[in-house]
Amino acid sequence: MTEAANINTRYDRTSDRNIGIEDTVLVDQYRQGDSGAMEKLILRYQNRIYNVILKICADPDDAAELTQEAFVKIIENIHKFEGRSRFYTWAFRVAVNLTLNYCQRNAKLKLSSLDIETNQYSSQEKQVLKEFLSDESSPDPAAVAQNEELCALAFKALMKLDEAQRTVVILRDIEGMNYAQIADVLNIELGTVRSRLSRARGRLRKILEASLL
Amino acid sequence: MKEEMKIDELLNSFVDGELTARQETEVQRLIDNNPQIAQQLRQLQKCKMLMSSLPITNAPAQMLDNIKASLEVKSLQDRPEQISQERGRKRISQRVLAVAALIGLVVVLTAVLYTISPSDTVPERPDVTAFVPNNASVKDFYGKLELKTSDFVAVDAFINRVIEDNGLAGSLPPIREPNRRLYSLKCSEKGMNLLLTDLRKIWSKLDTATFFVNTEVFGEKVVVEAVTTEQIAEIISQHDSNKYIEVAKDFAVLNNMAQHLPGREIASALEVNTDGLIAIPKPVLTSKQPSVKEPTLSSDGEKTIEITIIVNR
Repeated sequence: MTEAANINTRYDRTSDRNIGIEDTVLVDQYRQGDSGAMEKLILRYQNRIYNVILKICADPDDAAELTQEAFVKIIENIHKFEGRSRFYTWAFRVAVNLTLNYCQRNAKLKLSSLDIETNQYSSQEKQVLKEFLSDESSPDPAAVAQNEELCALAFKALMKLDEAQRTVVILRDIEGMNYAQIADVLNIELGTVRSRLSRARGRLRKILEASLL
Repeated sequence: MKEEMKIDELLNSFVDGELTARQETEVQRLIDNNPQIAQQLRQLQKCKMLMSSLPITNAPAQMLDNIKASLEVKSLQDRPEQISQERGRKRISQRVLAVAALIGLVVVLTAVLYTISPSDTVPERPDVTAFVPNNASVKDFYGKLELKTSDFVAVDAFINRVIEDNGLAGSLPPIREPNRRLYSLKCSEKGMNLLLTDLRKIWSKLDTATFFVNTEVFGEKVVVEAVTTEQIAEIISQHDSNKYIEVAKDFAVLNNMAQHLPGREIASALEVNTDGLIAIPKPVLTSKQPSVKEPTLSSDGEKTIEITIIVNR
């Protein structure tokens, strides 16, 4: 199973009864007046878009509002979708841009509370992280996912990245996009994705190591 | 330093499967021969694993409904006859200038009369809570109430609560946007009056309150700035669309003048002296029976009030 397919299975797809239908077919159907086709697209992507927005902005209420706003924008601008990229990346571009703009506007408000929360690590979290980092064997991804302390630590570390770095990590490691798709969503060069991701992971490693001190 | 960065990028691309077959072979050879790079790779893989292990959170269950409601509200707001707000404002300003002298005199006299006369000498205002008779010329009412407040959270929470308390939450769900809330309400006149009675309590917390009156017949809006809940009740109590417009225009002119009169005594009289002027009677329980929520949705033959309440920060 590919990495993207593996990530795909983690989402709740029970509401998507049209998995076999291509996005472009649904977009065409919607343009011809079938509003049900757009409903299918919303159900297909609402969880993925919400999850990415939530990981970027870290507030469930904001994430719900931004997801809603993103889909309204997507529907209102569907006539601008030319099919040069996939609907999936086009929709994510709308959602991620909206979220990043929102975060920039609210950066001053959120920063102080976030700093307090993310600077505190419990001794148990530190111990779990120490064991994880020093373990020479390859850890089991399923076991890592079930380890709440590790996940909490990972989230705190992610929140310490600036938004640009955080977004590439989220799109790559959580959403499972390849570099070309990330470049398309963020409208940046492929080389920029490569270097930004490299710097982001380097910083993440330093944040995690520093939290052990 | 640059080489170190290059190795970092190569290792990242290796972990992500983004290298060509030849690059991959070379990096693999590098890893096999350099324990430090092998260690660096392991840390990178763990970092990636940590991130990809973060729990997935699904969207709230009502997301699709909220998106639909948001689109409906937008399309309602974008209706061509409702967009002519600016034109309406200009026309109102011209009207204000034209009739200012005449109306001013009436307003001053009225205010003086109300101030010096006991309330029983004042002609009784129409009972705004009464249902419109079936044989009357009934037209549905469409309008928008735009509120601006610096106390956004408290005001919005209050409005949300009174909408629920008055049994109006069954209309479209509210649209929550950053710094903005939209409530689309569809109810009977009685239901709207009960809501307005409650809304009076937070009117002092508003920076501005503007009421937009629209009818399909006229195809344009009348903008009543600095509107009071009593004025809204008065407008919606009218029995046909011509009357809605007529009364709304009168209030628009009055409020505009009151805003510009020195001392604002008359404006105060209009806003505060609601006992003598226009008061909305709230139903009073006369028995000890438990409170039963009034039916606030319109029934057959009764006019429907459709109002979008927008709360802005």
